Amino acid sequence: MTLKHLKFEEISDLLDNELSDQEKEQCLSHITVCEVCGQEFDSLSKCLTLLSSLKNECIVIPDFSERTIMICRSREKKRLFLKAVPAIAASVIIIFGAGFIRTGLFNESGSYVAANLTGHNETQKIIETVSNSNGRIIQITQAYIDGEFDKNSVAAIKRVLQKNKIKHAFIVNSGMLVNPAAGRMEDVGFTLGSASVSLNNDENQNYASIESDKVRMRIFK
Amino acid sequence: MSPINDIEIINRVIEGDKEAFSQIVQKYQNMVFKYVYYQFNNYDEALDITQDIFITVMEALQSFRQESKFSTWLYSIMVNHCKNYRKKMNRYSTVSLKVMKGEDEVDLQLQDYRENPEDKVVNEDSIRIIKEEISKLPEDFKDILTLRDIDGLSYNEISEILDINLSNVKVRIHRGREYLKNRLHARGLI
Ligand SMILES: [Zn+2]
Repeated sequence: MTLKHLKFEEISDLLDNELSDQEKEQCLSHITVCEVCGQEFDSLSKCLTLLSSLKNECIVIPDFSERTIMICRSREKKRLFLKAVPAIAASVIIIFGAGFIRTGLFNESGSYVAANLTGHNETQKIIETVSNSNGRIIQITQAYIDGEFDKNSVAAIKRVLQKNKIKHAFIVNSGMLVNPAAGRMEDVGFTLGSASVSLNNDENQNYASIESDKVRMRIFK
Repeated sequence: MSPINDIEIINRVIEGDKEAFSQIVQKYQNMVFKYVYYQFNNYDEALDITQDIFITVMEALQSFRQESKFSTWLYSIMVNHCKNYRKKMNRYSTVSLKVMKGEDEVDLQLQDYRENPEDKVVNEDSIRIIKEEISKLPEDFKDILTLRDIDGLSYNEISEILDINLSNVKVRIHRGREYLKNRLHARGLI
Protein backbone atom coordinates (compact mmCIF):
# COMPACT_ATOMS: atom_id res chain seq x y z
CA MET A 1 0.00 0.00 0.00
CA THR A 2 1.37 3.38 -1.03
CA LEU A 3 1.25 6.01 1.67
CA LYS A 4 -0.58 8.71 -0.19
CA HIS A 5 -4.31 8.37 -0.72
CA LEU A 6 -5.56 8.46 -4.28
CA LYS A 7 -6.63 11.73 -5.77
CA PHE A 8 -10.22 12.04 -6.85
CA GLU A 9 -9.04 12.42 -10.44
CA GLU A 10 -7.33 9.08 -10.28
CA ILE A 11 -10.43 7.34 -9.04
CA SER A 12 -12.49 9.04 -11.71
CA ASP A 13 -10.00 8.09 -14.42
CA LEU A 14 -9.87 4.58 -13.13
CA LEU A 15 -13.61 4.24 -13.51
CA ASP A 16 -13.37 5.67 -17.01
CA ASN A 17 -10.49 3.42 -17.90
CA GLU A 18 -8.38 6.45 -18.68
CA LEU A 19 -5.30 5.28 -16.83
CA SER A 20 -2.26 3.55 -18.20
CA ASP A 21 -1.91 -0.11 -17.27
CA GLN A 22 0.70 0.72 -14.73
CA GLU A 23 -1.30 3.47 -13.05
CA LYS A 24 -4.34 1.27 -13.07
CA GLU A 25 -2.41 -1.48 -11.36
CA GLN A 26 -1.18 0.88 -8.65
CA CYS A 27 -4.56 2.43 -8.01
CA LEU A 28 -6.33 -0.90 -7.82
CA SER A 29 -3.86 -2.32 -5.41
CA HIS A 30 -4.18 0.75 -3.21
CA ILE A 31 -7.95 0.61 -3.24
CA THR A 32 -8.06 -3.00 -2.21
CA VAL A 33 -6.12 -2.27 0.94
CA CYS A 34 -7.09 1.32 1.80
CA GLU A 35 -10.52 1.66 3.31
CA VAL A 36 -10.74 5.41 2.75
CA CYS A 37 -9.98 5.19 -0.94
CA GLY A 38 -12.07 2.06 -1.29
CA GLN A 39 -15.06 3.95 0.05
CA GLU A 40 -14.37 6.88 -2.22
CA PHE A 41 -14.24 4.50 -5.14
CA ASP A 42 -17.54 2.91 -4.13
CA SER A 43 -19.21 6.28 -3.74
CA LEU A 44 -18.20 7.48 -7.15
CA SER A 45 -19.09 4.26 -8.83
CA LYS A 46 -22.53 4.37 -7.22
CA CYS A 47 -22.89 7.94 -8.37
CA LEU A 48 -22.02 6.92 -11.92
CA THR A 49 -24.37 3.97 -11.76
CA LEU A 50 -27.17 6.31 -10.82
CA LEU A 51 -26.33 8.67 -13.63
CA SER A 52 -26.15 5.97 -16.23
CA SER A 53 -29.43 4.54 -15.01
CA LEU A 54 -31.02 7.76 -16.20
CA LYS A 55 -30.11 6.83 -19.73
CA ASN A 56 -32.66 4.05 -19.57
CA GLU A 57 -35.18 6.00 -17.62
CA CYS A 58 -38.45 5.81 -19.43
CA ILE A 59 -39.98 9.18 -20.14
CA VAL A 60 -42.94 9.20 -22.44
CA ILE A 61 -42.52 11.77 -25.16
CA PRO A 62 -44.42 12.42 -28.36
CA ASP A 63 -42.90 11.72 -31.75
CA PHE A 64 -41.34 14.95 -32.91
CA SER A 65 -40.75 13.90 -36.49
CA GLU A 66 -44.00 14.85 -38.16
CA ARG A 67 -44.19 18.26 -36.56
CA THR A 68 -40.56 19.01 -37.29
CA ILE A 69 -40.99 18.34 -40.99
CA MET A 70 -44.23 20.27 -41.11
CA ILE A 71 -42.79 23.33 -39.40
CA CYS A 72 -39.65 23.29 -41.54
CA ARG A 73 -41.72 23.07 -44.69
CA SER A 74 -43.86 26.06 -43.82
CA ARG A 75 -40.87 28.07 -42.66
CA GLU A 76 -39.10 27.33 -45.91
CA LYS A 77 -42.05 28.62 -47.88
CA LYS A 78 -42.03 31.78 -45.84
CA ARG A 79 -38.29 32.20 -46.32
CA LEU A 80 -38.54 31.83 -50.06
CA PHE A 81 -41.15 34.51 -50.05
CA LEU A 82 -39.14 36.90 -47.90
CA LYS A 83 -36.13 36.28 -50.07
CA ALA A 84 -38.06 37.18 -53.18
CA VAL A 85 -39.25 40.51 -51.86
CA PRO A 86 -35.92 42.35 -51.53
CA ALA A 87 -34.84 40.89 -54.84
CA ILE A 88 -37.85 42.46 -56.42
CA ALA A 89 -37.21 45.74 -54.68
CA ALA A 90 -33.53 45.79 -55.57
CA SER A 91 -34.20 45.36 -59.23
CA VAL A 92 -36.03 48.73 -59.33
CA ILE A 93 -38.74 47.66 -61.60
CA ILE A 94 -39.65 50.17 -64.17
CA ILE A 95 -43.01 49.96 -65.75
CA PHE A 96 -43.73 52.07 -68.76
CA GLY A 97 -47.31 52.16 -69.72
CA ALA A 98 -48.64 48.67 -69.86
CA GLY A 99 -45.16 47.27 -70.35
CA PHE A 100 -44.42 44.32 -68.16
CA ILE A 101 -41.47 43.36 -66.13
CA ARG A 102 -39.09 40.92 -67.72
CA THR A 103 -36.66 40.01 -65.01
CA GLY A 104 -36.23 36.39 -64.15
CA LEU A 105 -38.51 36.77 -61.22
CA PHE A 106 -41.55 37.43 -63.28
CA ASN A 107 -43.35 35.63 -65.95
CA GLU A 108 -44.71 37.65 -68.81
CA SER A 109 -47.94 38.57 -67.21
CA GLY A 110 -46.24 39.65 -64.01
CA SER A 111 -48.41 37.32 -62.03
CA TYR A 112 -45.48 35.69 -60.28
CA VAL A 113 -44.97 38.72 -58.10
CA ALA A 114 -48.59 38.95 -57.36
CA ALA A 115 -48.85 35.32 -56.49
CA ASN A 116 -45.97 35.47 -54.05
CA LEU A 117 -46.79 38.56 -52.12
CA THR A 118 -49.17 38.48 -49.26
CA GLY A 119 -52.45 40.05 -50.14
CA HIS A 120 -51.47 39.41 -53.70
CA ASN A 121 -54.65 40.80 -55.15
CA GLU A 122 -53.83 44.16 -53.65
CA THR A 123 -50.33 44.00 -54.99
CA GLN A 124 -51.46 43.17 -58.46
CA LYS A 125 -53.94 45.97 -58.36
CA ILE A 126 -51.30 48.46 -57.29
CA ILE A 127 -48.81 47.31 -59.88
CA GLU A 128 -51.35 47.48 -62.63
CA THR A 129 -52.46 50.90 -61.58
CA VAL A 130 -48.94 52.22 -61.44
CA SER A 131 -48.11 50.78 -64.80
CA ASN A 132 -51.29 52.14 -66.35
CA SER A 133 -50.38 55.61 -65.16
CA ASN A 134 -46.96 55.76 -66.77
CA GLY A 135 -45.57 55.31 -63.29
CA ARG A 136 -42.40 53.73 -62.05
CA ILE A 137 -42.29 51.29 -59.20
CA ILE A 138 -39.38 52.04 -56.94
CA GLN A 139 -39.74 49.51 -54.23
CA ILE A 140 -41.98 46.67 -53.23
CA THR A 141 -42.01 45.47 -49.67
CA GLN A 142 -44.39 43.28 -47.80
CA ALA A 143 -46.20 46.29 -46.43
CA TYR A 144 -46.14 48.83 -49.21
CA ILE A 145 -45.13 49.77 -52.70
CA ASP A 146 -43.28 52.98 -53.52
CA GLY A 147 -44.00 54.45 -56.88
CA GLU A 148 -43.20 57.59 -58.79
CA PHE A 149 -45.73 59.27 -61.04
CA ASP A 150 -46.58 62.32 -62.99
CA LYS A 151 -48.28 64.85 -60.82
CA ASN A 152 -51.16 64.79 -63.26
CA SER A 153 -51.90 61.13 -62.68
CA VAL A 154 -52.19 61.38 -58.92
CA ALA A 155 -55.90 61.91 -58.90
CA ALA A 156 -56.46 58.99 -61.22
CA ILE A 157 -54.31 56.73 -59.13
CA LYS A 158 -56.10 57.77 -56.03
CA ARG A 159 -59.38 56.93 -57.58
CA VAL A 160 -58.34 53.39 -58.33
CA LEU A 161 -56.50 52.81 -55.11
CA GLN A 162 -58.94 54.54 -52.88
CA LYS A 163 -59.01 51.66 -50.50
CA ASN A 164 -55.29 51.70 -49.92
CA LYS A 165 -53.59 53.96 -47.52
CA ILE A 166 -51.47 56.25 -49.63
CA LYS A 167 -48.53 58.24 -48.43
CA HIS A 168 -46.76 60.51 -50.78
CA ALA A 169 -44.04 63.07 -51.24
CA PHE A 170 -42.72 65.14 -54.05
CA ILE A 171 -39.62 64.85 -56.06
CA VAL A 172 -38.14 68.26 -56.71
CA ASN A 173 -34.97 67.49 -58.56
CA SER A 174 -33.69 64.35 -60.11
CA GLY A 175 -34.18 61.68 -57.52
CA MET A 176 -34.40 64.06 -54.58
CA LEU A 177 -37.27 63.18 -52.39
CA VAL A 178 -38.89 66.06 -50.62
CA ASN A 179 -42.09 66.37 -48.74
CA PRO A 180 -43.71 69.80 -48.81
CA ALA A 181 -43.56 70.06 -45.06
CA ALA A 182 -40.74 67.95 -43.74
CA GLY A 183 -38.65 67.32 -46.77
CA ARG A 184 -39.06 63.61 -46.45
CA MET A 185 -41.53 60.91 -47.22
CA GLU A 186 -44.34 61.22 -44.79
CA ASP A 187 -48.01 60.75 -44.45
CA VAL A 188 -49.87 63.81 -45.55
CA GLY A 189 -53.24 62.27 -44.95
CA PHE A 190 -54.20 61.40 -48.43
CA THR A 191 -56.78 58.70 -48.35
CA LEU A 192 -57.59 55.99 -45.91
CA GLY A 193 -60.37 53.92 -47.30
CA SER A 194 -62.30 57.10 -47.60
CA ALA A 195 -65.02 57.76 -50.12
CA SER A 196 -63.70 61.17 -51.02
CA VAL A 197 -61.04 60.52 -53.56
CA SER A 198 -60.75 63.67 -55.53
CA LEU A 199 -58.11 66.22 -54.63
CA ASN A 200 -59.56 69.12 -52.79
CA ASN A 201 -58.37 72.63 -53.39
CA ASP A 202 -55.91 72.67 -50.53
CA GLU A 203 -54.25 69.56 -51.78
CA ASN A 204 -54.10 70.93 -55.27
CA GLN A 205 -52.40 73.98 -53.96
CA ASN A 206 -49.99 71.81 -52.13
CA TYR A 207 -48.97 70.16 -55.32
CA ALA A 208 -48.86 73.37 -57.23
CA SER A 209 -46.48 74.96 -54.80
CA ILE A 210 -43.84 72.40 -55.61
CA GLU A 211 -41.74 72.90 -58.67
CA SER A 212 -41.87 69.38 -59.83
CA ASP A 213 -43.97 67.31 -62.08
CA LYS A 214 -43.23 64.05 -60.33
CA VAL A 215 -44.76 62.71 -57.19
CA ARG A 216 -43.61 59.77 -55.22
CA MET A 217 -46.14 57.67 -53.39
CA ARG A 218 -46.05 54.99 -50.83
CA ILE A 219 -49.00 52.73 -51.32
CA PHE A 220 -49.84 50.46 -48.43
CA LYS A 221 -51.39 47.10 -48.99
CA MET B 1 -28.34 2.16 -36.99
CA SER B 2 -24.80 2.96 -38.08
CA PRO B 3 -23.40 6.42 -38.78
CA ILE B 4 -23.31 5.54 -42.48
CA ASN B 5 -27.05 5.31 -42.43
CA ASP B 6 -27.28 8.75 -40.88
CA ILE B 7 -25.32 10.20 -43.77
CA GLU B 8 -27.44 8.35 -46.30
CA ILE B 9 -30.60 9.70 -44.76
CA ILE B 10 -29.22 13.22 -44.55
CA ASN B 11 -28.28 13.19 -48.20
CA ARG B 12 -31.76 12.11 -49.06
CA VAL B 13 -33.21 14.96 -47.02
CA ILE B 14 -30.89 17.48 -48.66
CA GLU B 15 -31.90 16.17 -52.05
CA GLY B 16 -35.48 16.97 -51.20
CA ASP B 17 -36.87 13.87 -49.50
CA LYS B 18 -37.94 15.78 -46.41
CA GLU B 19 -39.90 12.86 -45.02
CA ALA B 20 -36.68 10.93 -44.57
CA PHE B 21 -35.77 13.29 -41.76
CA SER B 22 -38.32 11.57 -39.56
CA GLN B 23 -35.89 8.66 -39.24
CA ILE B 24 -33.28 11.00 -37.81
CA VAL B 25 -35.75 12.54 -35.41
CA GLN B 26 -37.01 9.18 -34.23
CA LYS B 27 -33.52 7.90 -33.70
CA TYR B 28 -32.32 10.82 -31.61
CA GLN B 29 -35.40 12.31 -30.00
CA ASN B 30 -35.17 10.34 -26.79
CA MET B 31 -31.60 11.28 -26.26
CA VAL B 32 -32.13 14.94 -27.09
CA PHE B 33 -35.24 15.16 -24.96
CA LYS B 34 -33.54 13.66 -21.96
CA TYR B 35 -30.58 15.95 -22.25
CA VAL B 36 -32.87 18.96 -22.39
CA TYR B 37 -35.08 17.60 -19.66
CA TYR B 38 -32.19 17.15 -17.25
CA GLN B 39 -30.98 20.62 -18.12
CA PHE B 40 -34.21 22.37 -17.29
CA ASN B 41 -36.05 19.85 -15.18
CA ASN B 42 -39.35 20.79 -16.75
CA TYR B 43 -41.24 18.41 -19.02
CA ASP B 44 -43.21 20.95 -21.04
CA GLU B 45 -40.27 23.24 -21.48
CA ALA B 46 -38.18 20.30 -22.59
CA LEU B 47 -40.78 19.35 -25.19
CA ASP B 48 -40.68 22.81 -26.73
CA ILE B 49 -36.92 23.04 -26.70
CA THR B 50 -36.52 19.58 -28.18
CA GLN B 51 -38.88 20.52 -30.97
CA ASP B 52 -36.87 23.67 -31.65
CA ILE B 53 -33.64 21.74 -31.72
CA PHE B 54 -34.88 19.37 -34.40
CA ILE B 55 -36.15 22.27 -36.46
CA THR B 56 -32.75 23.92 -36.17
CA VAL B 57 -31.01 20.71 -37.12
CA MET B 58 -33.20 20.13 -40.12
CA GLU B 59 -32.78 23.67 -41.33
CA ALA B 60 -29.04 23.61 -40.81
CA LEU B 61 -28.60 20.24 -42.46
CA GLN B 62 -27.06 21.81 -45.55
CA SER B 63 -24.26 23.16 -43.41
CA PHE B 64 -23.34 19.78 -41.96
CA ARG B 65 -19.90 19.23 -43.45
CA GLN B 66 -19.73 15.53 -42.69
CA GLU B 67 -16.29 16.02 -41.16
CA SER B 68 -17.53 14.80 -37.82
CA LYS B 69 -20.09 12.22 -36.94
CA PHE B 70 -23.60 13.42 -37.50
CA SER B 71 -24.49 12.69 -33.89
CA THR B 72 -21.63 14.88 -32.69
CA TRP B 73 -22.84 17.69 -34.86
CA LEU B 74 -26.39 17.24 -33.64
CA TYR B 75 -25.29 17.20 -30.00
CA SER B 76 -23.36 20.43 -30.40
CA ILE B 77 -26.44 22.11 -31.82
CA MET B 78 -28.37 20.70 -28.89
CA VAL B 79 -25.86 21.92 -26.32
CA ASN B 80 -25.68 25.39 -27.82
CA HIS B 81 -29.40 25.64 -28.12
CA CYS B 82 -29.79 24.88 -24.43
CA LYS B 83 -27.08 27.36 -23.53
CA ASN B 84 -28.76 30.11 -25.48
CA TYR B 85 -32.12 29.24 -24.05
CA ARG B 86 -30.74 29.38 -20.55
CA LYS B 87 -29.16 32.76 -21.21
CA LYS B 88 -32.44 34.05 -22.49
CA MET B 89 -34.27 32.69 -19.47
CA ASN B 90 -31.74 34.01 -17.00
CA ARG B 91 -32.58 37.50 -18.11
CA TYR B 92 -36.02 36.97 -16.72
CA SER B 93 -35.07 34.68 -13.91
CA THR B 94 -36.57 34.97 -10.51
CA VAL B 95 -34.68 35.53 -7.31
CA SER B 96 -31.75 33.18 -7.08
CA LEU B 97 -31.91 30.56 -4.42
CA LYS B 98 -28.26 30.98 -3.77
CA VAL B 99 -26.70 32.77 -0.86
CA MET B 100 -23.13 33.66 -0.20
CA LYS B 101 -21.57 31.88 2.72
CA GLY B 102 -18.12 33.25 3.10
CA GLU B 103 -16.56 32.80 -0.29
CA ASP B 104 -18.78 29.99 -1.39
CA GLU B 105 -22.08 30.17 -3.11
CA VAL B 106 -24.38 27.81 -1.33
CA ASP B 107 -27.73 26.54 -2.44
CA LEU B 108 -30.53 27.32 -0.09
CA GLN B 109 -32.26 24.05 0.27
CA LEU B 110 -33.52 21.57 2.70
CA GLN B 111 -30.94 18.99 3.40
CA ASP B 112 -32.00 15.43 3.46
CA TYR B 113 -29.60 13.50 5.61
CA ARG B 114 -31.40 10.22 5.64
CA GLU B 115 -29.50 7.05 6.01
CA ASN B 116 -28.19 5.43 2.91
CA PRO B 117 -30.72 2.76 1.99
CA GLU B 118 -28.88 -0.47 2.25
CA ASP B 119 -30.55 -2.18 -0.64
CA LYS B 120 -30.16 -1.25 -4.28
CA VAL B 121 -28.45 1.90 -5.40
CA VAL B 122 -31.07 2.59 -8.03
CA ASN B 123 -34.63 2.97 -6.85
CA GLU B 124 -37.41 5.47 -7.38
CA ASP B 125 -36.24 7.72 -4.60
CA SER B 126 -32.66 7.79 -5.65
CA ILE B 127 -33.64 8.57 -9.22
CA ARG B 128 -35.73 11.47 -8.03
CA ILE B 129 -32.91 12.80 -5.88
CA ILE B 130 -30.27 12.52 -8.53
CA LYS B 131 -32.48 14.31 -11.01
CA GLU B 132 -32.96 17.10 -8.53
CA GLU B 133 -29.27 17.33 -7.96
CA ILE B 134 -28.44 17.31 -11.65
CA SER B 135 -30.83 20.17 -12.22
CA LYS B 136 -29.04 22.16 -9.54
CA LEU B 137 -25.56 21.58 -10.89
CA PRO B 138 -23.57 24.54 -12.17
CA GLU B 139 -24.13 24.71 -15.92
CA ASP B 140 -20.67 23.57 -16.95
CA PHE B 141 -20.93 20.47 -14.82
CA LYS B 142 -24.45 19.79 -15.93
CA ASP B 143 -23.47 19.83 -19.59
CA ILE B 144 -20.54 17.59 -19.23
CA LEU B 145 -21.97 15.06 -16.81
CA THR B 146 -25.08 14.63 -18.91
CA LEU B 147 -23.00 13.98 -22.00
CA ARG B 148 -20.45 11.78 -20.29
CA ASP B 149 -22.26 9.91 -17.57
CA ILE B 150 -25.82 9.77 -18.83
CA ASP B 151 -25.31 9.64 -22.58
CA GLY B 152 -22.00 7.83 -22.31
CA LEU B 153 -20.17 9.87 -24.94
CA SER B 154 -16.40 9.64 -25.27
CA TYR B 155 -14.01 12.35 -24.10
CA ASN B 156 -13.22 13.11 -27.72
CA GLU B 157 -16.83 13.51 -28.73
CA ILE B 158 -17.48 15.78 -25.78
CA SER B 159 -14.46 17.87 -26.67
CA GLU B 160 -15.92 18.40 -30.13
CA ILE B 161 -19.44 19.02 -28.96
CA LEU B 162 -18.54 21.51 -26.26
CA ASP B 163 -15.70 22.93 -28.29
CA ILE B 164 -13.19 22.69 -25.48
CA ASN B 165 -9.89 20.85 -25.50
CA LEU B 166 -9.44 17.37 -24.16
CA SER B 167 -7.65 18.37 -20.98
CA ASN B 168 -10.45 20.77 -20.16
CA VAL B 169 -12.92 17.98 -20.74
CA LYS B 170 -11.06 15.85 -18.22
CA VAL B 171 -10.78 18.58 -15.64
CA ARG B 172 -14.42 19.42 -15.94
CA ILE B 173 -15.46 15.79 -15.65
CA HIS B 174 -13.37 15.38 -12.53
CA ARG B 175 -14.69 18.51 -10.89
CA GLY B 176 -18.26 17.87 -11.90
CA ARG B 177 -18.21 14.35 -10.59
CA GLU B 178 -16.62 15.39 -7.35
CA TYR B 179 -19.19 18.12 -6.92
CA LEU B 180 -22.11 15.80 -7.64
CA LYS B 181 -20.69 13.03 -5.52
CA ASN B 182 -20.47 15.40 -2.58
CA ARG B 183 -24.01 16.57 -3.14
CA LEU B 184 -25.32 13.02 -3.28
CA HIS B 185 -23.32 12.19 -0.19
CA ALA B 186 -24.84 15.15 1.61
CA ARG B 187 -28.26 13.81 0.75
CA GLY B 188 -27.37 10.42 2.09
CA LEU B 189 -27.65 8.73 -1.24
CA ILE B 190 -24.12 7.39 -1.46
ZN1 LIG C 1 -6.08 5.58 0.33
